[in-house]
Amino acid sequence: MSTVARRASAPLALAAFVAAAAAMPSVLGPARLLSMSLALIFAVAALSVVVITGWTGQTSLAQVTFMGVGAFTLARLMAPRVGLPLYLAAPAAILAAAVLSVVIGLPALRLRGIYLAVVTLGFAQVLQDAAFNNSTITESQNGLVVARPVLGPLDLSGEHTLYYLLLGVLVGCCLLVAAMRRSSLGRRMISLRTTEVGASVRGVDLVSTKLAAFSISAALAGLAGVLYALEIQSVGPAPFNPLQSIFLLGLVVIAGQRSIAAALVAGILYGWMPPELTRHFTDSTFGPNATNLVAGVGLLLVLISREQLRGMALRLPRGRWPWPRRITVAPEVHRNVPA
Amino acid sequence: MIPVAASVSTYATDAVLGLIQGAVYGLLAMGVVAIYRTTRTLNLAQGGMATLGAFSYIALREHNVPTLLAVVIVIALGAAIGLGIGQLIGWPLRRASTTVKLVSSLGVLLVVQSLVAIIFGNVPRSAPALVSPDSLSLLGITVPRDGLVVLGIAALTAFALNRLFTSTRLGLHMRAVAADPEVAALQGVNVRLVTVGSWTLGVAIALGGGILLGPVIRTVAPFLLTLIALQALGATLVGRIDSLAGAMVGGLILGELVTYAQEFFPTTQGNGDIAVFLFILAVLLLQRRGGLVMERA
Repeated sequence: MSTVARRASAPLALAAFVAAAAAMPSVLGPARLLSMSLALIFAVAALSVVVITGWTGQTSLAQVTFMGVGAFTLARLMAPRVGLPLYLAAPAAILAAAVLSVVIGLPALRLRGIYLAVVTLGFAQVLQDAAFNNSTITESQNGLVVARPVLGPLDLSGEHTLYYLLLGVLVGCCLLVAAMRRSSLGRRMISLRTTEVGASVRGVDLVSTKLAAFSISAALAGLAGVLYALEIQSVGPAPFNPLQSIFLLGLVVIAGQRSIAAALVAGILYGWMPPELTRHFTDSTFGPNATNLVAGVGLLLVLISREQLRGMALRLPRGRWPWPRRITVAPEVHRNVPA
Repeated sequence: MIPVAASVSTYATDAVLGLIQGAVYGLLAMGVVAIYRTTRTLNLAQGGMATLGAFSYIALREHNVPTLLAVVIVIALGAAIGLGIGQLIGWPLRRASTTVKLVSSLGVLLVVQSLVAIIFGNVPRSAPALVSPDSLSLLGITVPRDGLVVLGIAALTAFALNRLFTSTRLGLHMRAVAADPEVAALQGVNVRLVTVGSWTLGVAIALGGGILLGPVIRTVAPFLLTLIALQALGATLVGRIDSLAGAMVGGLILGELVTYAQEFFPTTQGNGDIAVFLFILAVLLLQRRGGLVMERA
């Protein structure tokens, strides 16, 4: 691929996605349009996974929980008792998710290793049991009601207006995250993922970089929660249970994990797969569980086949076809050490 | 005076119950450590596997299979699953990054969780008694007879595991692979056997731990899996996921913490989970940040 084609391919792909997504309201019925709206929302959440896992190499198992934090905070702040308008409540909700992420992330991220996974699993569990399922916080069994407001010229109560707002926010997030990837922070994140020792030797501050990535990622997830609350108009505990974060992470890894396109694909899978599978398998126990089964098996197949392909690629001569060059392999790839 | 005496015996009973609960957490945590030491895979599916063990044991007992035979079948099932995971996932991914290995265990968790829900349904079940349903009373402390059996089995298993790692040939090979797979292979250690063996051992412990979990918490629900996984993973942090003894100590502490949290804050929702989460945060905060050379994981 020539350089021009390579540089243009990502914006072109995003433009194609936006064009296709913009055409959806006139093509789909209301049920499938809801799936598509959820796909856009979960694409924002999947972007947050790309930032923290795909680029920074840290595993967070609480991204959907941060969505829940955003959604519940928004719902509480917009309820009549507080009555904040959306343009104040939404930033507050996003900030709440980011602040929480720093509080729980700091103990784990100052150590090297996989401790973030354990901490975030605990956080997801605690928030589910102590907050989302707590009737003094959720107020009613069916969850908190969120009324769609009028935002300047936009009346969000219209299905189509809200859909285009979701699409606009998603595109904005994609551009923002892409800019971040090209910035100094983005380079520090990638170098940290490749080798923490090497990054540290080159002067990258591991703790602050990890914390920045984690809080940006939590803020994105919180934003996804805000959008979710506006779309569904009621916030209950079920959509934010700990298994959902694992499911989302699995989908992002299946989709490729390191690109913005992967987030879009993962979002579409998250929005479409469960309702379509439930529609297909009407059996009440198999239907809802089929999505996790498919995601789990798919995840394992992708991980194993990717590893096998990498092994094959290492044995292939690396040169411009058909002239093989001497094989030079980065030593870190060959070493069989725990990373 | 009487209420004080009553509360003292309540707290003493809690201590014993916490010990029993903690022994099971510790056992599950030892399974996590057994897998992590040699394969560098943090098995997040440990709780899901324990749930699978608990449910299969209950199902077998409901079909009037004798206790001992049911236990053997469940542990054999665990060993078979572990063997399969080791061969199909653990070995092909041996050179993958820690993150990829962690995510692969999430894939296993998704599969195990959905299979448990599909096969056994989404309803909680009550676990049958292991030996007998009655309780023992001693010095004002009332303890279920099953609990003591659980404590005994857990202690024996922990002892056996420790012996396995310290004074058998397989244990020596496991420690060699944990230290450096490449060098171990050069010394003639069969790394594949050790990798698959660790998975077999760890998953068999998980399913066996699930059997012991039943009598301790009475009702077993499918959503238990993340709950118990958290206890098992939190317990391993005491020994930086590398020490079997640390895992058991962490499990015992967690058992006490959860029991007392439920005693002192009965109305707080999620009291046990909050205790576990705070414990995890505290353990991580207390760990020294250390230099780059000191920390391996």
